[in-house]
Amino acid sequence: MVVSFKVKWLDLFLGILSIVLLVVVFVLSASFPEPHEAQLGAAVFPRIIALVLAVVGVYILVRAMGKKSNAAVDINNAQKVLLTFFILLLYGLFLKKVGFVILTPVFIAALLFLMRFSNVVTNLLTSILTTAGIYLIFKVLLSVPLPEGILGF
Amino acid sequence: MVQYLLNGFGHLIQTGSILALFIGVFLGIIIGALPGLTATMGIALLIPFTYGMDPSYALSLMVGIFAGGIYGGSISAILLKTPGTPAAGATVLDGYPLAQKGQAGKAVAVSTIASALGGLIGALILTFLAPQIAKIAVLFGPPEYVLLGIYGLSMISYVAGKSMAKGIFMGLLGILISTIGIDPISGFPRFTFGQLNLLNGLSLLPVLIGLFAAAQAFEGIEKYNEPQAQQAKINRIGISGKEFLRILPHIIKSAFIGTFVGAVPGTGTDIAAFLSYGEAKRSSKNGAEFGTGVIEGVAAPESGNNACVNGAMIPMFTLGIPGEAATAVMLGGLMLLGLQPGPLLFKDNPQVIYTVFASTITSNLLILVLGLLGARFFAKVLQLPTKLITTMIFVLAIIGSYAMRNNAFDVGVTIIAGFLGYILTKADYPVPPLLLGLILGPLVESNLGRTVIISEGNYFIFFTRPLCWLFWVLILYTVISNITKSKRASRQLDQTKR
Repeated sequence: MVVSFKVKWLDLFLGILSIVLLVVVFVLSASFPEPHEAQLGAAVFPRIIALVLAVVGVYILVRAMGKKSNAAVDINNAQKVLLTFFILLLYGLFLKKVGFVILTPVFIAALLFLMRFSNVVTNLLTSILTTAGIYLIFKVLLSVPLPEGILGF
Repeated sequence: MVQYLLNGFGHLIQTGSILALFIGVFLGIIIGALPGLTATMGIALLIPFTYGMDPSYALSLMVGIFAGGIYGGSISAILLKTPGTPAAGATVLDGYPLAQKGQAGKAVAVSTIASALGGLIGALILTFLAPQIAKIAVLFGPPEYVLLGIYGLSMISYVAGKSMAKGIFMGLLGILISTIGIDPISGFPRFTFGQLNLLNGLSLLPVLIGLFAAAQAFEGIEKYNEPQAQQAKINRIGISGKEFLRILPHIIKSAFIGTFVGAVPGTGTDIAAFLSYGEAKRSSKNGAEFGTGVIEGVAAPESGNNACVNGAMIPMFTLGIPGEAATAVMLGGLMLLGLQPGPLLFKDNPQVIYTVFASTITSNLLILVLGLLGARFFAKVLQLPTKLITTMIFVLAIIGSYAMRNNAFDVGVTIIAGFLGYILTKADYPVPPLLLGLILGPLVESNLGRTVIISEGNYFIFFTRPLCWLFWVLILYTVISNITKSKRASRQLDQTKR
């Protein structure tokens, strides 16, 4: 499945976002403490940047709406890209609780199936072997902390 | 200074950092050779695991990956017609035609020798020039640093890609994001929404890993069903003495171009390579044959981009300003190691800095040996299934961002930054300016705060100091030359459309 969206809609979105950010920065910075004499204060710099950002954002917005720009971005295999994003989120979310050793083979296998890497046996074997490899290199050799989770190692 | 450098070599061997350098160059060549994996990504993925290492060891690894990665890109440029890194884009022009003529081995040899020699010249310039620049940089006060930061940011227009406005937008967004967290002067927490995770700001590393590693892996998912490119065969590796003499002048000239381009903040290895290629084509007797497979066309960009690696480290170490994307990532790594880049680094940690210089010099020797002896092996690595590599990048990105602080929040930041980076890049919103803003924003703000304090609120101070004027001229020159450059570019685009 190919999903394509017009670049100008993204331009429009980011232009509006820059205005929203401007408002947010000014509202939130209103409660920042007053600076002492001859001090910059916490609010000045973010306000300047937000202001310039909004100017550039509005420029991009106006430019995108003005011309009949039909430039589009195509995302091939969009459902797989999105699915990967959600699988990643789940992996990242539960990694600490469940643990690296259990969750990583599942994650690798999921992506390999998603990309139609090979047959079932090869996919599963690959996912287990690569997990073991990473565990050996990082945990055993380099003593990098990997999430232990429920197994405790 | 020669004494310091000799000590650096001694330290390199004594601490075993030379082993780290070897591993770095080796991994770097593989990372660089694999299309879709860049040296920048390699360093970003590596940094979390260098945490707690001896600084010279960690920095040798990074130097190795950077130099090896930029060289490694040429292998796939020659054999696959796909540059392994953007820096090898110019190498395709003559490297692939050479391979088609059955001279892939010769092309690889030329690229290896040019990379090593160009890199060596760049490393020597770095070693002898950087301490001098550091001596000048000691004189900089807060106002100079503000302007230096603005100068670095003004280079955004060079790295901006197709649309300058979009590049500037991303740069400003990066600066704005960098203001999240405790204000550097008054210590007041800003825009944290009560999140403890945001008190020290959005940590740089998870964002980096997301933008430069995970985003690429999403691209890999998108292209999962594209067939892997056919590879040209490597025959005899080597060149004759006559051919060496033919490419030598181009190697030397490109090395100087590359080092200079690298030393200018904001411009990168890809620009160095294309400029070197253009200059070689212009000045060469057989310039018209460029593009059909001449060895000069491989030597020039490869010498230029590896020299650029070293040039880019000059502003990074002496001023704390990244020369290009990979050094911006390295800068993040330096800070994690507890080293504050800048002129004081030369005073406080001369041993570390000269060990790094010794590393940069040695790395080129390793490129020569590994490249000439290992080319066939690296060509084999190119046949690894991309689907597996894509998956591994995701896993390394996740455990890397986790390993830093054992924190699930960082993992989330990596995933979201990766996805957004992937979408934004597709719509011509370039990611490197965002990184530049994230790094230079705090530099500008904290020094602006100090300037206001020392000048007692008098902003005229920016015009009363002679060194400030130097930066005003630089900034003005950059901005004007970029505006005229982009006007010319858009005019050319209009003409080609008609």
